[in-house]
Amino acid sequence: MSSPAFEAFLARLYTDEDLRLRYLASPGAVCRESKLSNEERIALETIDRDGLILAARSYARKRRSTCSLDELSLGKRHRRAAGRHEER
Amino acid sequence: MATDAADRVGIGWRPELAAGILLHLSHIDVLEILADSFFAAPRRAIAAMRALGREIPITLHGVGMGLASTIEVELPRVEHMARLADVLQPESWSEHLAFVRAGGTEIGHLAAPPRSVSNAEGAVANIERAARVVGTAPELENVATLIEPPGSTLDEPAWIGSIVCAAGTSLLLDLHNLYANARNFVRDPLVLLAAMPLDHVRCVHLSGGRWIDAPSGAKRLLDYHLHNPPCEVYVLLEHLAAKISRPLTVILERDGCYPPFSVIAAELDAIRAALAKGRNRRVLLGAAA
Amino acid sequence: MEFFPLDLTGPQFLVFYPLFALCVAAIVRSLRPRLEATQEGVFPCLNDPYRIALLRDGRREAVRIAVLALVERGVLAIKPDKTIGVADGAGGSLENPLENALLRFFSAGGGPESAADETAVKAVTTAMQANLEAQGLLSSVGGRASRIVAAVTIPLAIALLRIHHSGPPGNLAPHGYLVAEMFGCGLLAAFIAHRRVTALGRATLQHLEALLGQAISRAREPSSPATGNEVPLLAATFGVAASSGILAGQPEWLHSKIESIGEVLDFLRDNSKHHGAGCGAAGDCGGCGGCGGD
Repeated sequence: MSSPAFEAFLARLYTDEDLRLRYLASPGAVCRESKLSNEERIALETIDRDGLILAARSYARKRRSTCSLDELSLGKRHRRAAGRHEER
Repeated sequence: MATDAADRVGIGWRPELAAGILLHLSHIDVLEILADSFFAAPRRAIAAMRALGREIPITLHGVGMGLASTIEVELPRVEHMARLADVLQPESWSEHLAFVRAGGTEIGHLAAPPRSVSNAEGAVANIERAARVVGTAPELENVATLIEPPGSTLDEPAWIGSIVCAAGTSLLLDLHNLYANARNFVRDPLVLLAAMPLDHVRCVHLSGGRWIDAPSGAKRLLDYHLHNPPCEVYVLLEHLAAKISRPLTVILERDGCYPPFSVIAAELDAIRAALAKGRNRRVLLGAAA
Repeated sequence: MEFFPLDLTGPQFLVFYPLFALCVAAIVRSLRPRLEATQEGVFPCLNDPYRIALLRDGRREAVRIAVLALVERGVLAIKPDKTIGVADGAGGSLENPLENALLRFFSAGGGPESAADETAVKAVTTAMQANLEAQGLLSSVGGRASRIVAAVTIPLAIALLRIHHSGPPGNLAPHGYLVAEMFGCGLLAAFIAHRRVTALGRATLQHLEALLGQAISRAREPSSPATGNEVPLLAATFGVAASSGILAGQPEWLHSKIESIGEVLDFLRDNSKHHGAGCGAAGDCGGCGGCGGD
């Protein structure tokens, strides 16, 4: 299963430390707050916890490194254009 | 030693390795350029790379599109690749089977998406969109993951196979990523290799990694790109070369901790030796059949 | 109002003439890249540091880079009295003709200030120059001569026409000034129109600077000592004096290697009247880590 909402939740889980800590403390509660399907919530409640922590750390280090994917891929001028694209 | 004459060995272009690469150009068959590094590069840098591209074949490797997603790929990102490809005239381009952003959140790196039918369908749609804009379809690379992708209903080979078959594209098989995923999720690397859609493989990546500690005390292999490929990855390359007949382009990836180029050159030689060994085994197996 | 230069008064023509001569020289200089077969984007395979140095700054620079390379490899050594000699244990012959000629020169006790003019060394560098001319990277003598002739003779013709047009001089002074201007502007025009390096050669050097420079500085873990021609290649591209300027972003082992031969760079700089030109700007070719984790 996968949906834009599920991917968006995963992206937040990987990057938002507060959300992740709340989730690890109480997965069910955090999942119920989200606008995900039952199937997606069940999938999240059995998440690979070790992997989640390690992956989040790895992504954070990568974000802190010299270049971010966004800066490289677009540069400032085109990030504005991408923002307009997302709003559509 | 028998070798497949059309097998090629190359390296990822990194500015820190530039002097060594230029001095050993005759020893390198192809250069892989990180496309995202050139999207905002000055004209003189692009002109220099274009000139170099007339001396040696180059391929473009993107990291920022996030094609493996149910969310539509952002058009400006694909257009950037198209413009760069138009100027540099690479022989091919590639991207990753990963998602890198969703719902306005940038993950900052390549994340393995849920391996599901709906995700595969989204990936195929994105690949087709990208192919229309750039003019050619990308080769698609499997990614390493530290987390078993939640919401997955397919295993990795089935998911990858469904995408490359439906999109009609090639697979850029990163053998260290495959090895890392196998070791991290208790699978036999050779079994995982055999299950991949090998008939779609044209290009191979080799790199290294390091073991990191998980909170539970277990260890996981991080695809780090700062080390030489481990010998197990060369074994996988031999097996791959023994299994498929078409020519392979093998790219050595290194993102830091750069040693003297003599060390890199030795790795390129090791790749050639592994390819030759695999091809020899293929010949012997064919003769024995 | 019609403008005809030959109708200008004497003082007016004296002002007009140098401006005209400079314009002609500038046009000849700028037209040349269009007339040359630039083969846009072609990057002649130049990974020989000595040919790169010769292209950038002439024969003497090629010799300096070769000496630097031989010192860096331990074939030559700088003695306490600042002379250069063959290192202990080094000897025999070398494959590279320039290196071999220099090894023989220093074996015979020659001094670095005369290395570039030594017969065998000069023969090798002359052959290298001819090769670069054949590749279209350096202007040939004939090519340079034709450009200088064009830049000089057009204004010269105008000046002679002016002298003829003004009739028998009742006063020699204006023509005297004009003749002086003819010589002065002729020399200046020759200087402006003269270009040793062709457009293709300049593009090649610019490409090398862009590829070898580094825009982003990164820390690297130390690794094993360097081998090969990387230091001479960087010095050849950016100039011996400027080599330290491109340390930022290079791998740590290369950084320490260039620093360890700092004495060589200083020595060669002090002993040569011909300082390395072209402090190339840091290149801008890429700079982001790839798809590896962390």
